[in-house]
Amino acid sequence: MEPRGDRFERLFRETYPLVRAYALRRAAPDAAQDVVADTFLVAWRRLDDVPADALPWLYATARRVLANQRRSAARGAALERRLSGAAGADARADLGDSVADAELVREALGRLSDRSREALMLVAWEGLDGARAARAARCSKAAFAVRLHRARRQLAAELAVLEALPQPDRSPEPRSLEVGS
Amino acid sequence: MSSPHDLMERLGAADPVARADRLSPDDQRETDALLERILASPAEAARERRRPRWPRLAAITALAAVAIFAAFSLLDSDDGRSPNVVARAVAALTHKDAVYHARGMGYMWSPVEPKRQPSPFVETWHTTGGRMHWKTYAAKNGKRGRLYTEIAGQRRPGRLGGPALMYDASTNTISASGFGRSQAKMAPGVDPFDPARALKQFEAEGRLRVAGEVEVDGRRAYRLVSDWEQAAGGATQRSEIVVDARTYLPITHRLWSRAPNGIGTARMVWHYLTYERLPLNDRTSRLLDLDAPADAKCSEGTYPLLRKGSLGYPNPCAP
Repeated sequence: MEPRGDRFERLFRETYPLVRAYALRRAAPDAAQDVVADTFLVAWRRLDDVPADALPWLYATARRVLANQRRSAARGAALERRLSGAAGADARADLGDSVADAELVREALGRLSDRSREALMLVAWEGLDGARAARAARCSKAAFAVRLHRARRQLAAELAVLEALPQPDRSPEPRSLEVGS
Repeated sequence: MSSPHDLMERLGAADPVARADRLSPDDQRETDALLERILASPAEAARERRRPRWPRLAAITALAAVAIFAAFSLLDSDDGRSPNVVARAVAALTHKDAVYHARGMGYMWSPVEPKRQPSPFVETWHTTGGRMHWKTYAAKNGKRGRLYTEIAGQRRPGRLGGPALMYDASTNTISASGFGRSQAKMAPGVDPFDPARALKQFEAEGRLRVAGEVEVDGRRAYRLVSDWEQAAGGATQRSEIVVDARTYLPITHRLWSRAPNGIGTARMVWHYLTYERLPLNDRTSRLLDLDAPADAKCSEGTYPLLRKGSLGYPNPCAP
């Protein structure tokens, strides 16, 4: 049987960049570092519970860590800036059309409920298929499919509204600033 | 409006950290340092410490919600009075000639919804013989709002149904109903408004312990804790009932439910604004009856469906 330390190191090396990306998509860089560290600490302590396909489990754990962190108002504000694009310096480096559209999409995403937003992000940004995304969201495949379908529809509706607005009125006012439910 | 395909492509293109899975040399150094720190941390010892942290965490949350628990009340400290306390609590909740009246509301946290989810406001009256009258209201800032539904009838422990009538305030309609399955396979006190049956069972099996004294709103109280127990569906559950040290009636009830994979733990806390034992007499027995308005409509078939069972009170839908 593979020694515990070796098993964890293999898991860590394989998944660290992906878990880090997951956290960076949902939190400011300093908070994301904490999320990643806490997530892997949980994995280390509960290595026997980590399934063979570890990534959805790690995402789910990271989401809970994020949710705990987000109880701090300051970090909530950081998320608001991140989702609305105001803090995404890397994303705004080039202000071409594609970046403007990306900001618009992120703004629309920020207007969705936590649950809808997470469903979309798991698929579009984390690249999970339905079954793995459902495991990461801790729900059944069928429930996730419904959630994703609704989320797409909501995102399309929010985008349509934003696209119809004159530019100055597109003030970022996400309805809910908490990701990770 | 975009097609679903275009939409997901646009969303993918909006990923703010699309290349974050590539680590720079600096990132790689940080990664190695983190791995070293984690591997140096005591995995097994940390795992053992996790259990006692749950009651502490839950109690701290409850403190924030109701500001009642003293900080040092959270440490487990079984004492020599345990058998008496458990027996007295069970006795206090199983008086035959009593109507138990409770009012309160709960909050739930789950892995799916880590934010606190409030329950409706609930008011109940019940007897140990199975009579139950349950009213559900909207909860407005922790107080009772408008009535949603009420249900009254005779419960049959361990079985679905039990003759009962339900009143739906939104439609002003009475219909035949039944109570849900008894929580026979779950941990003690799962039924937050009638914990007696489960307490009695687990007292008999020796699976209930006193985990110390606490002070609640200036009142001395005992924590009755059932340790993690296997429940339906492979889940494990633990519950804690805080009972008044004078009356032995419940003040707070907490429940933890851990999913079979051991990861997702939901917890719920019920705060009783009232939990009192009234003498059973003509006046209090009427509190067990459905309290629908006189002009409430009866759904078709309400009377014949219930004719064979005994509601415990006159069927208002009788012709």
